[in-house]
Amino acid sequence: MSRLFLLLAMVVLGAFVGAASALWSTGIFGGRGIVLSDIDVAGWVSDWSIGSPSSGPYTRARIARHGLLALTKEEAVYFTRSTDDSGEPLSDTCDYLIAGEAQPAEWWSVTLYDAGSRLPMNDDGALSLDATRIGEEGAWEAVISASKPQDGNLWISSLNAGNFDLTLRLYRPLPALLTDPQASLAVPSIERIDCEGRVSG
Amino acid sequence: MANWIATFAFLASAALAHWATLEAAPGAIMSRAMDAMETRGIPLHGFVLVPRATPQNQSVVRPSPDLAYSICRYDLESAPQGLSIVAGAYSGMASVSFFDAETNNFATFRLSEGRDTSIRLINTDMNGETVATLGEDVAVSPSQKGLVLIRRLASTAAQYDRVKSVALQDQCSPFDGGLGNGTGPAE
Repeated sequence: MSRLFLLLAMVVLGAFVGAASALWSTGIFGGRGIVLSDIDVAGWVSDWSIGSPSSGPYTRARIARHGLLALTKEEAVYFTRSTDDSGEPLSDTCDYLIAGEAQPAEWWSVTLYDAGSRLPMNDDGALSLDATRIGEEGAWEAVISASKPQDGNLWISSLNAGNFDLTLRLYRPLPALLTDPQASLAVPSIERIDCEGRVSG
Repeated sequence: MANWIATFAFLASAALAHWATLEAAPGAIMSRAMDAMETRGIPLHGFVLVPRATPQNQSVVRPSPDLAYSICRYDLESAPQGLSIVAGAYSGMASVSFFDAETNNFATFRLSEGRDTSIRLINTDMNGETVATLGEDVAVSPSQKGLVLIRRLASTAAQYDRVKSVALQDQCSPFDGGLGNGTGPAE
């Protein structure tokens, strides 16, 4: 009888551990989970199978939680980055300078999200930067900060974002980006300018 | 011996539960999202233009504040002949995308600038070539339930206001002569 009880206990415990590990690893419960991506361009990560039934179970579960209603790559690709150029997590306690060039797509944007994949709770009205604001100039830069810069620079607000990430959306990507993202993506840099109470690195 | 069996039972149970959770998660999340949309007033078989995404009103994860979204919930059990989808003409980047009950994006159509786009949504039992009328594209849903999403580029408040009048032309109605409902802005 005790052996049967032990067996049942192991089955129940195993089921709990199995389910919990699935929820954690995909970021459904307990943060961002483990990011499995087949594309990594200088810290900007993506997965070309997003939105497709052919994507693996981890990708599908993770995207359902953190990117519901994402499109397949022919219409849009999504790159996410959660660290600055020195490898430190992006945080609302620091100021950053993000800089880039024109992207190989019909339209693109950079949007800031908190750890829960939500727009940060502030009313600054500076949630993103997109191609229509850059125009034909190509090269651009913007400040990411919890307070609006005094010099009138383009600005993305990180107020109340905690540890955050940035999503680079590229709609109607050019074929070259899909076949060779390493060579085609105009990788935005993220330089940490300063942090509260700390000297910038 | 008993310890080996118990260990095996633990590992087998964990692996099975891990896989089952992964497989069930997308459908469960999509079902929950669709229920939430119903609660927020997005009807079955009718487009609603949701308010411009802000931190205060976001209803899905990772919304883009630069896009205007019109959403239609569908259930092909109550539309056996499929649905007639019409996206109003818009002079900007726009698309109509279809998502099944497992969150898969099974079809996307780019809107042509300056003219309405018509799409017939059917289930897998119907023959697309037979049911399509002249000028229609056809989307075949792998599931009975899902979402239709119209995205229009609107990165400023003024552009979003322009979308409001365009969205009045959006239609998501059963293809049986019945009237669609809920077209137009959600406000």
